[in-house]
Amino acid sequence: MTSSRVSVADPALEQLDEAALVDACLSGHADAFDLLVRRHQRHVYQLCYRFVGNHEDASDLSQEVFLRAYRGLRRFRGRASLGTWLYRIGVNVCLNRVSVKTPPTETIGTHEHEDTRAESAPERLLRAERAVRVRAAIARLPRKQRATLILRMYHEMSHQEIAEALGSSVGAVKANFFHALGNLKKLLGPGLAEREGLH
Amino acid sequence: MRHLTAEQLVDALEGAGAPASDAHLRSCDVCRRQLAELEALRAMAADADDVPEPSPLFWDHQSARIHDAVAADGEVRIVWWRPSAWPWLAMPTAAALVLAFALAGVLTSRLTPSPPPPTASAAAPSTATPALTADDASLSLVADLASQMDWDDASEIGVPLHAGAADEAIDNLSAGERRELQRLLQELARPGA
Repeated sequence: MTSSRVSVADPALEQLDEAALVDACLSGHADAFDLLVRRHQRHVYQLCYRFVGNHEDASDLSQEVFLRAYRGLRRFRGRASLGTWLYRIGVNVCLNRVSVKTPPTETIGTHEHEDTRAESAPERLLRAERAVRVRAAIARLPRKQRATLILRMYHEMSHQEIAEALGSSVGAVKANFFHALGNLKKLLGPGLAEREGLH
Repeated sequence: MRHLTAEQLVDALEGAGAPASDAHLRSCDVCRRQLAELEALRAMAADADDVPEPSPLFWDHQSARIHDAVAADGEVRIVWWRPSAWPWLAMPTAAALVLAFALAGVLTSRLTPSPPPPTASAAAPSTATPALTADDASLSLVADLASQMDWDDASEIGVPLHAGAADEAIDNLSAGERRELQRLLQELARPGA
């Protein structure tokens, strides 16, 4: 039984900030949670996709993130932003899932949607091959390093926000980021590292 | 010369290096090379990111699925053990728990065989722990009750719970704690208690 479309009945809710929406949810306004989902679903989905590398799992996991958020909404204290809190749940959900699943294997060409018209065909192929190898290497990083790298590089979160999301210190986040890049070099192997001018 | 730390290199990488770090980088080939390498790796990682945009219908479909899942979840979720959620139940529940402990204590004492007559060596004051094992019926009751607690809510109030936590807690009781627990259970089991 799936609703065809979720519409927010009360337009006044649209004007509320996140803290007020959370309060509204806790007071029993189901519409308020729908609105929060809409505001954050893209970022949560993208986070999940970066961990699992395919649409189906990313879709399931992002649904689970919101379900957990709903269950734990009483515990949201507003110290961090709701987005950071959702990322925290998302990272936990994703790391739990990927730890029991084999990292996805990709074939070259599955992710080519960027505008690469300026590149020659061999350049495009090389770039795609490198991207696949880098993604595979990121998938093999230790959990916190991987989460730190994804949040910092692709979600442009500050070190402070990442520290809040991962429950660690800013210093630990910076150290994890540094080691993530170092391990990436090792995982990519000497061939690619040399080609890219890394010694 | 001391080279830059991981933290200082990351700050420099992100253009937030302290003046002292910048000065060090101007004079240190090793750190400069390391920074250049980090920059190249970061660029490579940035270039590898690729999240295809799902179909435009996906977002509506997903929010509808979440809406339904939340609605279904909300209907069945009851945090039964939290006193604030069930104020009118708090006292009867507490009384029922006490009664359950008392019954379990009576059963335990009846099922335990009578001790043999004291011997010369047994007549001496003993410091041995009274028999109270982890499979004791009254302790099983404790474990059963604990196993029904909501994990999320327990962690919220600072109780670290995991599968088998109650069993572990019982196993980890010291001799003194076991004696005290048994004394309490026996006290509850006494007629008129």
